[in-house]
Amino acid sequence: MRESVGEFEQLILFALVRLGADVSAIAIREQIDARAGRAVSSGALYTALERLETRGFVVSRFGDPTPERGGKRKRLYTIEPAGARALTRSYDALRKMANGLGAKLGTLGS
Amino acid sequence: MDAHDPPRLAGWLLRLILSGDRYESIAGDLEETFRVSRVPLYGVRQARRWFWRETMSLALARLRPHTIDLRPSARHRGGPMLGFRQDLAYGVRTLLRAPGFTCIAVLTLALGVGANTAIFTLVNGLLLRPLPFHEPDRLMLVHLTMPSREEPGVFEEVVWSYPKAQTFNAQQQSFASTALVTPRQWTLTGAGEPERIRGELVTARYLSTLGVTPQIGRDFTPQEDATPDLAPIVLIDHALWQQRFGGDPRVLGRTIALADVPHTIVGVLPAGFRGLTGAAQALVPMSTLPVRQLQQPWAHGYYLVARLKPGIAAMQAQTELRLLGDRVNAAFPPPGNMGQQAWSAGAIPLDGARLDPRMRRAVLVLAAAVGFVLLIGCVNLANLLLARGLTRQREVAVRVALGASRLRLMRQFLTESLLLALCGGAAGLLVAFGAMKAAARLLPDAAVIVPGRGLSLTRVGIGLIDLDLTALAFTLALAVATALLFGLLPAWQASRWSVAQTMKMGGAGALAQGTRGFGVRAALVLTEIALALVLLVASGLMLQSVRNLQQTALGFQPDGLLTSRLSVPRATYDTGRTARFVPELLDRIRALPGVTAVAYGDCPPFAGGCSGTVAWFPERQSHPTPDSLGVGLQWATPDYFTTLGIRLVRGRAFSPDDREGRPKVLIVNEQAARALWPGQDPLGKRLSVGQGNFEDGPEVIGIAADVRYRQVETAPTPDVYLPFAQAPVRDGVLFVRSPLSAAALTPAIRAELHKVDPNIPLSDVKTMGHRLGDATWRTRLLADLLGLFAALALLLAAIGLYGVIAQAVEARTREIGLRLALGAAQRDILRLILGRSLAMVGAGIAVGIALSVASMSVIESLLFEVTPNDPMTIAGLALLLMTVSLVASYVPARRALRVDPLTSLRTE
Repeated sequence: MRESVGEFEQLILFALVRLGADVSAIAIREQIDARAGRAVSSGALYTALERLETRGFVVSRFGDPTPERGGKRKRLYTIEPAGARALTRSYDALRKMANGLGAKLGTLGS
Repeated sequence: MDAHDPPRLAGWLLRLILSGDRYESIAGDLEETFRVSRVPLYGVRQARRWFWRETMSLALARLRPHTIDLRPSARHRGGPMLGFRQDLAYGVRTLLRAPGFTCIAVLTLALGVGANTAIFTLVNGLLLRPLPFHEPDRLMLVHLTMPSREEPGVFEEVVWSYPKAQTFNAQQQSFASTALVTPRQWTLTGAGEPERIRGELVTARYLSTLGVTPQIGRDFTPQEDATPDLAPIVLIDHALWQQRFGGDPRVLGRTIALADVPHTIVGVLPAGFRGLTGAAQALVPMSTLPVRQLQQPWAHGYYLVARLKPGIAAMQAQTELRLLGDRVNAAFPPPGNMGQQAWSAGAIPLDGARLDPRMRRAVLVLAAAVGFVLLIGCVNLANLLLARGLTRQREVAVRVALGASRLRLMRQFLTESLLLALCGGAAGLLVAFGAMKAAARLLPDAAVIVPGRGLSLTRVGIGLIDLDLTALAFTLALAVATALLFGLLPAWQASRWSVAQTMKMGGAGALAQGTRGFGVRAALVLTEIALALVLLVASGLMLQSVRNLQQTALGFQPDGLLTSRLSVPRATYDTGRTARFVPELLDRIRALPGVTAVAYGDCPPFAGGCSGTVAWFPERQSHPTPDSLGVGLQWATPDYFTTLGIRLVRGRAFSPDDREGRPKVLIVNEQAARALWPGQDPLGKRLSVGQGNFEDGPEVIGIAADVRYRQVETAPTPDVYLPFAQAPVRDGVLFVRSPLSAAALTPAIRAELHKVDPNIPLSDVKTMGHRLGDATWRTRLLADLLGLFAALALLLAAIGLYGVIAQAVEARTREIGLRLALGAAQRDILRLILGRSLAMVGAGIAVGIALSVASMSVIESLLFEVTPNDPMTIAGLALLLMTVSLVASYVPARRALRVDPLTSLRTE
C-alpha cells in the first residue's frame, strides 16, 4: 500500500514519533505550536486525527477522566507501523526533491 | 460553576455537533486546555474567547463537504443521529448559499407568525380566556327589558332598580345566589393626599356569588343587607391596602373617609380582584345608601349578577326570567312616559357581556385580517419553495444518481423546511413581543372603560395581557405545515423521475418544469391578489371612517381646552354653599395668567354618563306624557358657551343675574328647537323639563348650536341647558381655555382649588384633545392595524408575483431568444410577459372584488359615514393593486428584453 500523507498530517505524525506512545491531542498541539510555530485550530486538528485513524496510521485508546476535564476521559494516540512507513515515504520524497536547493531557494525568496 | 468554567452555551453547541466518544475526548481536551493553560496564561476573558473560537472551528469543520456522506450506507455507520446532523449541516449550508431566498422566507414567516400571535393573544385575553371567577360559565348577568321609545317592537336591556331586584330575588328559583352591583367614585381623604378612587356599591352576596373570598377580614353579611342606614363599612382592594397601609394586617377596624364619611375597614380583597367593573378599589354595602334612595322603583342603576343553581341550564333560567319579568312589571307598572308595552326580564352569560359588541367585532375583524396575512404569507412561502424546488431538480437528480434513497432525500428537504420554519418562528416571537409592547404604548391608559351600550362592564388592559404561547404554537404549526407541504413536493416529484431522464433534460429541464409548475403557481398568486384586495378594501374603508370622524363638526372647539372633574362633598356642602363655591373658584382660576376663559358644567363631551330626562309644554300638560320629548341635560355657568366655543344661534347666554330667586331660564340646542317648535321662534316660549325645580316651565332665552356630547359618531340629539346658579350640581366638570399646556396649567389650578378647600381633589384631568383621542381610538387603532396588515399583504403579493414572473422569464429565456432572433420586437416580448401577468392579476382582482362585496358587511357597524360597498373605494384600491402588480411584473419582464439571442440559444 503506497499511500502518502499531506503536510499537516506529517506535522502530527512527527509529533507522535517524538513524544512516544499514548500522546494526547493537547500535547500534539503544543508540540506543533512550539517547534513549527504554528497555531492549530481544533477543527483542523481533530479532523486530521480522525482521518489518520481511519486510514490505520494511528490508534487511540481512552485514558482516565480527570477533574480539570470536567470528568471526561482523555483520548491518547500512538503511531502505527503503517503510519511510520507512510511518514517515511512522504518525507523521503519531500527531502529528495528538496535536496541541495537550500541556497537557491534562499536567493529566490529574498 | 464559577467563572473558571468554559462558556456553557459553547459546551452545549459542542454536544450538539459531536457524537458520544468524540464529544467526550474533544470537549475534554478543550476544557483541560481552558483550565490548565488558557485561564492562567491569558485570563478568563481571553480564555473564554479562545474556547468559543475552537468550538466554532469544530462546528465549521463538521459543516465541510467531506464530512457529509450522501451514500445510504452512511446511516449504518453513523447511526440515525449522525444522519440527522448531516442533514442539519447540509441544510444550514444550503440555506446560507441562497441568502435572498432564506431572508424572504424567514421574514415572511416572522411577520405572519408574529402578527398572528399578537392578535390571537388579544383575542384570547379579551374574549376567550375564562373570567377569573369560580366556574365563570355558571354566572349570568340578569337584566330587565324595556320597550324601545324610538323603535316600536324592539326591547332595550335595562339595569335594575333596588325594589324591582328585591321582588325578583324573593321569587326566583333558578339561581343559587344573586347580587347587585353599581360603580361609584369617592374622594378618599384622611391618610395622605386626597384621592379620587373608583369602587362599587354591592349587596352582601356579591363576593360569594362570584366565588371570591377576602384575603383577610370578613365578607359582608346578609344581615347587613337587611339593616337600613347601615353604619358605613368597606372592603378595600389589595393595591389600596399596600399603598395606604403598607400591607399591615392590623388594618381591620381602622377607618378611611369616603366622600368625608368615615368607613370602617372589615376586610381586604385578594390581589388582582377589582370587581366586575375591573377598576374597583373599594366595595361598600348598598345598604349604606339612604333608605329613601334605595326605595325608588324607577332609579335604575344596578347590575344584577347571578349564579345558576347546579343542574339548572341557562335556557331553563330564561323561561323563569320571562315569568318573573311579568311579575315585576305587574308590581311596578310603568308610568305613562316610559312606554306602553310591558317590561320583562332576560339574561346573558356574564362571559358574553365582557366587551361591547362593536369592540368584540373589531377584535374579530383584526383576527380575520391577520389570518389573511398569514394565509398570504403561507401562499408566498409555498410559491417560493415550489420555485426553489424546480431549480434544485438537477441537484436532486445528482444525489439520486449517487444512490441517495427517496426517504433520505425527503428527510433532507424536511430538515431544511423545519430549519426555515424554526428561524421564522423565533423571529416571529420577536415581532409578536414588539407588537404587544407597541400596542401597550399606543394605548397609554392601558385600561380603557369601553363605553358600551347597556351592560358592558369589563375594561380592556392590553398592557396586562401576556404573550400567548398557544397562539404562537398554533401559527408556527401552520407555517411549518406549509413549509413541509411545499418543501417536500419537489423532492417527492423529483425522486419519482428516472435518473437518466432528469440528467438528460439538463438545462432544458428548467424549461419543461418551469411551464409545468406554472399553473399551480399562477393559482397561488391569484389567491394572494384576491386576499390582498379584500384587506386593502377593508383598510381603505376604515381610513375613510377615520377621516370622516376627524372632519366631523363637533359643535365646540376642542383645541386649547383643559377639562377636569370636580366633586364637592355632599356632607359639608349644601346647595347654597355649592352655589357660592363654584363661582369663587372660577373667578380665581380666571385670574391665573394665560387663562382666557373658564366654566363649569356637569358632563364632559364623549365621556358618557350625561343626564337625560323628558321635556313638555307647561301650557298643554302639567305632567310628562308618553309622547314627551326625551332630551339631554347640561348644566352651565354663564361663560360655558364662550369657554367651550359653542356658537349661540339666537338669544343670549346665561348671565350672573340668572340666579336663585330670579325667574328660571333655560337654553335649548337647535335639535330641541326644531323638534319642539318647528317653524316657530322658541325664544320667550316656556318649556318644562323633568329635573328637580325646572318642571314649572322656565322661559327659553337662547338657542345654542348642536354639540356631539355622547360620541363623535353619534349625531346630536335634543339638549337642554340649565343655569348652574339656579340648579347647583356637586359633581361637575371644570373647563379651562388657555394656550398653555396641561402640564403648566394643572398645578396652578390645583393650587387655587387648594386655597378654597384643600379637601376637594381635582381628578380625571385631560385636555379635550385627549378626550377626543380616547373617543376615537378604537376606529383609529383598527384603521392603523388594518392599514398595516393591508400594506403587508400588498408587499407579500407583489413579492409573490415578482417571483412567479421572474421564474417564467427564466424558464422561457430560450423561447424569448428565439423570438428575438426571428425578428420579434421588444414590445411584443413585453406584451407576452405582461399579458400573462395581467391575466393572472385581473382574475385575482375580480375574485377579490367579489369577496369584498360579499364580506364587507361584516365591518359595517365599525364604519363611519361610508358604505361597506363604496364603489369608489373598491375601484380605487383595485387600481392601486393593479399598478403595484404591473410594477412587480415589469421589473422581471424587462430582464427578458435584455436577453441576447445568441447567448440564450448557446446555453444548451
